[in-house]
Amino acid sequence: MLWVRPPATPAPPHAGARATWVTPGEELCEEVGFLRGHGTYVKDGMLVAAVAGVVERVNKLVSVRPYNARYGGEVGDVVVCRVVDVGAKRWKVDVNARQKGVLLLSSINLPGGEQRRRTAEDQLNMRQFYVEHDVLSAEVQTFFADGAMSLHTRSLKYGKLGCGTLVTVAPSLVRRAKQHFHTFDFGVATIFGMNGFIWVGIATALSPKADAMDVGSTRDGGIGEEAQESDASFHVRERTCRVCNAIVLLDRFFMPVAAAPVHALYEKSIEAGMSPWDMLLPENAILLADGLRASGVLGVRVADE
Amino acid sequence: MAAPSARHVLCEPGLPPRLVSRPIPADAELRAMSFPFRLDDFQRIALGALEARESVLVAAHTSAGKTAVALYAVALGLARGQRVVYTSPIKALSNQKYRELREAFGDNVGLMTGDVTLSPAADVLVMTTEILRNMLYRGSEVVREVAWVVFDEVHYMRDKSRGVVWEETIVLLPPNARFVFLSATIPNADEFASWVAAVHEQPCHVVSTEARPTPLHHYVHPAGSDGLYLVSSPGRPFDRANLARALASARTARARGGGGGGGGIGSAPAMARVVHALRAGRLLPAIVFSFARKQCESLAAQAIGGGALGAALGVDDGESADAEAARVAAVRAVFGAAVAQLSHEDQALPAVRRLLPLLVRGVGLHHSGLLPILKEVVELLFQEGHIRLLFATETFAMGVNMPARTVVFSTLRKWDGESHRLASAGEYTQMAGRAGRRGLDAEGHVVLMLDDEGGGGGSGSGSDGAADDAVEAAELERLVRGAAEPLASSFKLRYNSVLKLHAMESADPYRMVASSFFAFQREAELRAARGGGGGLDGGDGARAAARLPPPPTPLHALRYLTPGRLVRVRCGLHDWGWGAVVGVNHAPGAPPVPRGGNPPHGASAEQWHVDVLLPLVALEPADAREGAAAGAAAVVTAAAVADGGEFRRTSEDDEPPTDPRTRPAAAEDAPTDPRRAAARGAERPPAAADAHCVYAQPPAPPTPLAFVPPPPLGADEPPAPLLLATLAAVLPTNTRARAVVVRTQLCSIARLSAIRLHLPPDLRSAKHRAFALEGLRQLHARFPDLDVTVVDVVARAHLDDGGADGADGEGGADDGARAAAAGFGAAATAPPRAPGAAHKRKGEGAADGGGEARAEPDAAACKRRCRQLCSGFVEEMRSMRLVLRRLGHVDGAGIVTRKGRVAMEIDAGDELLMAELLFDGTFAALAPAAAAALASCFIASEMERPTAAAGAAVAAGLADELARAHAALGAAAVRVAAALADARLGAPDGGAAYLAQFSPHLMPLVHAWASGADFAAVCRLDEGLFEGTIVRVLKRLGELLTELIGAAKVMGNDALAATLEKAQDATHRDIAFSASLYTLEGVA
Repeated sequence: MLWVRPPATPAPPHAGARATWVTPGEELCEEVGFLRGHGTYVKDGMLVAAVAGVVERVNKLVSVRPYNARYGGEVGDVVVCRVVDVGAKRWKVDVNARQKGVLLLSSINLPGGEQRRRTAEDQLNMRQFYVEHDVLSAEVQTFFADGAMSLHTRSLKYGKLGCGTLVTVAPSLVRRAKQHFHTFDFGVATIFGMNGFIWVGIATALSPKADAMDVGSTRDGGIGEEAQESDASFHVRERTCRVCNAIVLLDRFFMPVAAAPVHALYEKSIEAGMSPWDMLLPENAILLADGLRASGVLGVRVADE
Repeated sequence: MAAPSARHVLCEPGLPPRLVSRPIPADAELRAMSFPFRLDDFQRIALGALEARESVLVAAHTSAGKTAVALYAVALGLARGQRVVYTSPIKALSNQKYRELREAFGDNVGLMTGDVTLSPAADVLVMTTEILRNMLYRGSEVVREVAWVVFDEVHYMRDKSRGVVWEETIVLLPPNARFVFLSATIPNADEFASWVAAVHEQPCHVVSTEARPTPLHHYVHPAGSDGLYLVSSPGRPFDRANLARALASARTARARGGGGGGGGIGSAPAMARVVHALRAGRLLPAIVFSFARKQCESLAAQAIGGGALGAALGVDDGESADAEAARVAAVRAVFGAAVAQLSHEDQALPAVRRLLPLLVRGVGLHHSGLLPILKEVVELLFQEGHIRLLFATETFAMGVNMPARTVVFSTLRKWDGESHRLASAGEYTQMAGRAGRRGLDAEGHVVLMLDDEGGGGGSGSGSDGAADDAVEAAELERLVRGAAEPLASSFKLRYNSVLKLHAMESADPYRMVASSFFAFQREAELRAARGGGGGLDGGDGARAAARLPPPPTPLHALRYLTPGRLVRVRCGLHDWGWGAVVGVNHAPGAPPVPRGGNPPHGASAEQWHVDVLLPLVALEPADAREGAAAGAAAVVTAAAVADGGEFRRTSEDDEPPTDPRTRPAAAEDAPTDPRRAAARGAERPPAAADAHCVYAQPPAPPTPLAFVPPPPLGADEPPAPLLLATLAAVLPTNTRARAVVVRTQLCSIARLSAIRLHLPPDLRSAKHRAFALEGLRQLHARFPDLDVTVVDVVARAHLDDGGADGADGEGGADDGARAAAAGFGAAATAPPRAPGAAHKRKGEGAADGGGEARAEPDAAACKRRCRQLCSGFVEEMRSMRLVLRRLGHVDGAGIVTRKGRVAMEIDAGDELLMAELLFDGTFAALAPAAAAALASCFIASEMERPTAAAGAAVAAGLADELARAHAALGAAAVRVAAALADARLGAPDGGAAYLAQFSPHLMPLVHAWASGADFAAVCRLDEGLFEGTIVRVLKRLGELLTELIGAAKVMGNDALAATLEKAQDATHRDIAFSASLYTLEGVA
């Protein structure tokens, strides 16, 4: 079934009423007195939008946040990625960005908390850690000179993901949050990768193992690996599907992807008596989306205190 | 043998520090590295700890030889192909250490300071602590691979402005790193080590010694007196009589001479007399410390002049003409080689040309105002022995060993930015420690020159002399005896750190505060105020030395020691591995363990014994000897179990139960003295005759005081010794392993797991024990690292105390404790499953109820702990968040915005104001040189600050562009100050005080330099500044510009980044950034 994204004025995802939508080539302001930020360029003394999106201003800095673009990335972002290549001392991963991301062998945690010793063999053993098509969670560590993203698994929270589903959405829809690892109280855990890759899995597989200040902890590598197929009962799988479809629905209606709206959609779809596979039928989807907009969940962000 | 000259204390997580008298075999093989000299006791102990892969804090005097310990840690890391990080507090020191390590370990050594990066991929990296901190926040690969981190001069943590960097670094380091802390002597070393142990859940040894390799003689020379008066010499009390004589002599001289007497502080005539005396007594070479750079300069100039001082120094008497010529040639060669790397213009600088005549005469000069390259020349020549008399400031007292025979204090009073105060004992000790060259001098000499007004400071010359003398004597005695100052936390919150912690998934500023040394010290104080939590008092004097009662006592573990609980048994360095608790027994007098409650007050840990089922292997006598010879950790004589009246037999079935009355003779005279018991157990390799000897006591301890044999449980009921074998700890997977129940003491339970094993009800049967062993085996297979599930008794205990005492009126504390333990409690109270799956993991239990729920109370617990211990910081944090939100660094939901990310990049200057200027476009509107000049306002407050009037004068005289830039800065500062004042973080004075930090007085100078002026011209712009200070300004500016470039990239403005890069290129040139001689090959 083909589902067309509704073209009519979508709710601005990130800001209140002040948000200004611009299209490429639209003049923003005079250059004098302002600072050129991302997504803008200067033409004839005017600052011009280079992408379609929302204008953002911080003091004198003017930038345009694109509404649909590949993932740009910022240092410290939590991302979900897929290994596409095992190379010399590095894995190339798909991070939904303009270039492939790089995960260096020296940037991962070894299993069992073993401390790396830099030997010749460890390069040969790389396939023991991750191979092509593995899905990982990681953090953006830095950018190379050519703009490619360098990732790292900072602590034992990050690593290989298993027993779950990957859902992809537009990166601009993923809200930056205090916690990108979220476990719903119905036993489903999600990782909202800032790059638009969302991992939905069984809670045991995702629940973080460390609760200490694991800023640089290397006690354990990988997560979710030990979850067994058998841990996923029918009900758990059904809930996982429901969460996945809630996320797909948010993406289709161009609504912010975060824990709160997903949770709200999950609840509403159950209330409405929909099975997970009915959620995306056009009439049901519109019903759910309208309900979500009316509920006010989208406007509310989870406060940090 | 217990080392007589060194004190060794072991701090373990959750346990009070305790004295260890025999830590390692005296002849432990040091495989990683050998030393060409005989190691001192403290060095041997420390190296033993390193060999055991455990952290160590070495507290000793400057020249005692701490470096050997650091070198060994480096060698250990290299031997295993792991990385080692060596941090030092200042860049100059990093350069010296880099050279030293390179000499020892060759090319595999790198250097990273703010100025220079050399081979950053090397296995050994020398860096400043700030660099390491930034690496930790960034999650660098170095941090991932680091096995050992050496913190040199860790007592620097006291530093008001930078001390916090040490705390952050130590807290952030990964848990599998091991530490070597090198420190001056500090009285509360145990406390510091306990903190490290608690934060990283690893044992930390404290090895300290007061001994000096070369003992010191202290003399005084009051201004005007006729000579040097010996007031203190090794092994003798402070000689007050001689001091009185000295002062009296000075008074008569003053009375005779009238008025001023010997002249000003450390004046040339007085100095001449001292130098004359030193020369006559063959006490040269000498370092003359004074606290003023100007004074150093003038004294050095006079020393080669024709005046009294020059005459007093004269020429080296014992030096032949040939030797003198050779020396002069050597000095010229070194100086020439060093200066050759400067440009011609720079070589002609007055500062450079002034130095050579001094050096040729054997006179040196060393202070922070000197050009770095010249400082290094002086250091090199001093080490080569070409300098007889060195005039230096305090800075020379830091760093690699550069001793002289004599140290002279030209004054004892120091200007600390606010007032003239007497040098502190710590400063005095550090400087005096430069006296006495190990191997060359049998003893060192320290001369204190007391000026007219007395060394004691406050007393005026006109007042009653005798009373002054008394004050002075007391002050001097305090200094000379060198009572070390305790290490106190100078933790503080900075916007940069708060933002960084905020932005990180799974980090939280409250956690940082809760883990800080500050919180640890506060907690100990609270405990002390409450009269202590009862509990374990080692009675060994170790505690008495530290002013604090132990952190949580082993008693807090009691409530968790339910049957089946997995625990790690460990005594001293001997690890017995993981086993399952069988039961807890207490002496008849002891109160029963309250269920789920807190241990009763006034109880002592010795009153409880824990029976633990351990996988052990019975050693053949031959094995035992072999094991002992190989230094195997856990070859000790094991014990049996007697369970009060109720008897649980644990002997092997093939061995007949031994009747207590037929106990072997060896057991009969089982010593009651713990020391002898220990000696028996640990020192003597278990010989065949001993193999069947029994002590009805815990595994014989290598550390007697840690492991006092328990008192008999019943007075008239003799302990029943049973199993007679020599056992060693093994992994449960070992096929030879047998399950043996061992009785041990509460304090040797090192770790608690959240896992409980389902134990068969009756362990008397070998079959049941084998079944239990199988359970251990399975657990081991599933969780190779049981540490993952450790229960944090320490944290819980804190909470428990808070709740139980109710002293802080926090009603919610107890509930919080319950909540925090909820995940654990679920596992603990869950009914045992079928034997096959007899374990339940904490993680699993919690995940059932939602994973977040577990992390959540933990964060809350941190916050609660903060509130209890450092409510000031909680308040401050709240205010800081208000400021951050108001200025737009953090949005309403607490998410760090782009502005916040820019501010995160800036560490070298005020990040709030800098972010405003960046986003206002102030920098973007400026030419590169002007941008550099504007940035210089941010470092002005660290350098000497001119008076407000002088600052205003400079501001008035600024060129147009600079004046506009500074005005823009002022406008932004007012905005930031308003935000600060609203959050009650700044004075509500319209930002005047805040703005004063950003004095423009460096702007013209930096602008000229960045516009391409040569160094001499720049120096002429501000005659009041030393050349070295200008270089420091420029280097600091270089760091700040690097950060600004990163910030511009985060903003996404390439033009701004390009401007700043141009500014940096223009600044980064010539003499200001000439490479350190220590990093160059082939110089000297």
